[in-house]
Amino acid sequence: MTAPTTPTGAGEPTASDPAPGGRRVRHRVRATLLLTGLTAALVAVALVSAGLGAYPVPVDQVAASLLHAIGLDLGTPPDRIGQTVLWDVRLPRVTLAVAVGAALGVAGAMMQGIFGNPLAEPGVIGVSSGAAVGAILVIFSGLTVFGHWTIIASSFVFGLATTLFVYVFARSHGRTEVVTLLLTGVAVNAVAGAAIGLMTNFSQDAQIQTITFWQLGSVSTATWAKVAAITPCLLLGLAVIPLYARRLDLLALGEGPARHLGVDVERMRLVVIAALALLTSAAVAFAGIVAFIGLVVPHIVRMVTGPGHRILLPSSALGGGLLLMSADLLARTAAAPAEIPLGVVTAALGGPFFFFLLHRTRAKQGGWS
Amino acid sequence: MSAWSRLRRRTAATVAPLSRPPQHPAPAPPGTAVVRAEGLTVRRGGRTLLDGVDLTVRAGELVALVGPNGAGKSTLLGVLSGDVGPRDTGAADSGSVHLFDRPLADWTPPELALRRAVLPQDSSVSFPFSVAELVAMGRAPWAGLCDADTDAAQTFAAMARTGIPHLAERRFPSLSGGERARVMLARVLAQGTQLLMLDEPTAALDIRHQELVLSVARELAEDGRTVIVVLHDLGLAAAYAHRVAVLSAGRIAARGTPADVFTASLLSDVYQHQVDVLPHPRTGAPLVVPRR
Repeated sequence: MTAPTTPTGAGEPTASDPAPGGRRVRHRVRATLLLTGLTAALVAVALVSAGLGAYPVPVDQVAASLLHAIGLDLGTPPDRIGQTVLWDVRLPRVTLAVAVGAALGVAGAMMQGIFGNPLAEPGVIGVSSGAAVGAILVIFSGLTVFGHWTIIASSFVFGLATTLFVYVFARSHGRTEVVTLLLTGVAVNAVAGAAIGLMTNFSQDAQIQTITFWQLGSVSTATWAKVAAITPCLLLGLAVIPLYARRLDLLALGEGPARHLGVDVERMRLVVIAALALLTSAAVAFAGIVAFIGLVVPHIVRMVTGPGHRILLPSSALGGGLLLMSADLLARTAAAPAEIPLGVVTAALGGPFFFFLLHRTRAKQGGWS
Repeated sequence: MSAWSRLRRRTAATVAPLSRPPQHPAPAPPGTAVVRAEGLTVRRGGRTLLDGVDLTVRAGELVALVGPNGAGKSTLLGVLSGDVGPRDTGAADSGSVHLFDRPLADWTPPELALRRAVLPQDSSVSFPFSVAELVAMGRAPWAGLCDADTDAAQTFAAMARTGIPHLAERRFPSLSGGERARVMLARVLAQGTQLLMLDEPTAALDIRHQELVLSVARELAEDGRTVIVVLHDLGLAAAYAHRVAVLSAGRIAARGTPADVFTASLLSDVYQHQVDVLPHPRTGAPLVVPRR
């Protein structure tokens, strides 16, 4: 028996047959542009943001003060009041905003990757509320087992538990269906809301103020001590990127194919979920519930450079920091001297973006199902 | 293999990204047994999906698994690829699978990914990756073993072989069913493994692309690779497979060359529908025609 052996080399090599090398280079250029652009924007907005406020400091003086701090005597640093405002109030706040935004941006991108679902986001699926329950429980009960770290520890435990619950509950065959995921989020948010409401009801006035702060989100109480506490959490979470970015790409094919391509799916799942729960709960512990950062930023990055996680994850960190810092700038300057809660600003930006995604997806593929 | 050496192997694979990648696989000489399954039995939810199946597949062979719906073709492929197994809950399995003379469970995922590629039945992708990116994912197991130029060349060769270079920049969700199937096949080809397992690679394809896919599979086998393919189309199996295994109710009802196995009585019995088997007027390959 002989089989017909047809020549199968070329399927009519078309006119614009791009050399694979050229495509790679083009892709790399685009990614580099995005990363450098985001970094530049982050630095620029940080300088401007640190200068703006009730006691304005010109940008060049902000830059001079920063350079002075690292031992470069260039330009003229601000006067003593300016120096104090800058180093005791503005810079910790800007830094905390960047750290929280970066944590939420990466956590959102990781969550979407591990859930295999573009709508997974810590706020939407209830992980932020879960972590907030942990944080508020500490405030409510006045527990201080680990000192300053008590709130982080408690919100991490609750955030991790919520993530695992949603992951186990909403997943089937290695993917989560959008509807199941969102409805799970609705249910989780309802339960968390009930717990928070119950604790608020039985709280003293002073506690209620702190609890409200957590629910609306804010970085206004930033201190260097808080920055110092969130940094290790952020770095630990970001350390996952170089190890798992390519494997998260493979997971987009489904769990079985990822395993056939050599990925230890179970281990990856554990590591990435722990990392994203750490990032989310650290952000919640220091800034309360700030929704939609993890949804908006990765989506915009995907529109620019595509879904590859090696670019998506670092870009989401930079973009998240940039977006949250800008939102905080808006929150404290738009109605000065009053402050708008940060969570209100991000929700006002993120809500319409959610509508936009919904509309675009319906127009393109008839909606999620 | 003892539990100790298994543990050591696992540990080595865990730190592999930090130390060194797994070894390059040694080539399998033609005729050596690449897959050896013995006495495979799989029960799920009180039903017996596989019942004492033995199967040996050698290097240089294209073996087709055929049979009616629910006969256990995909389950068998799942067991051979490690997707169905004692890892699943409620498994009551017996039997053994050896790949390249080593028990399946003793291979780590990274080692296995260099040696065998699997094309699953349904292909879906969570994010809108481009075709070029998806095919390049097949090169992921070789990270650290191959330079970037080899990876790019292999990726491009796989795309050329499946006739999709013109789709390179397209996003996966914008492709038709047939295009998606070919992209996924290209990814599997790019993996460059000795063993390929294809689960119904022709299901979504038109005649021209069915022939394309199976002639690619046949060429790979002629080059000394090993191909196991689940097929519904008996005509394709008869034309391209070196050997076929006919599954029926979890057992292998017959195996051998298509000419030996595809008889009217056997197929009528297995498929519970009267069929005629005629020799092709030009090639002599058996043609299976249902009686209507």
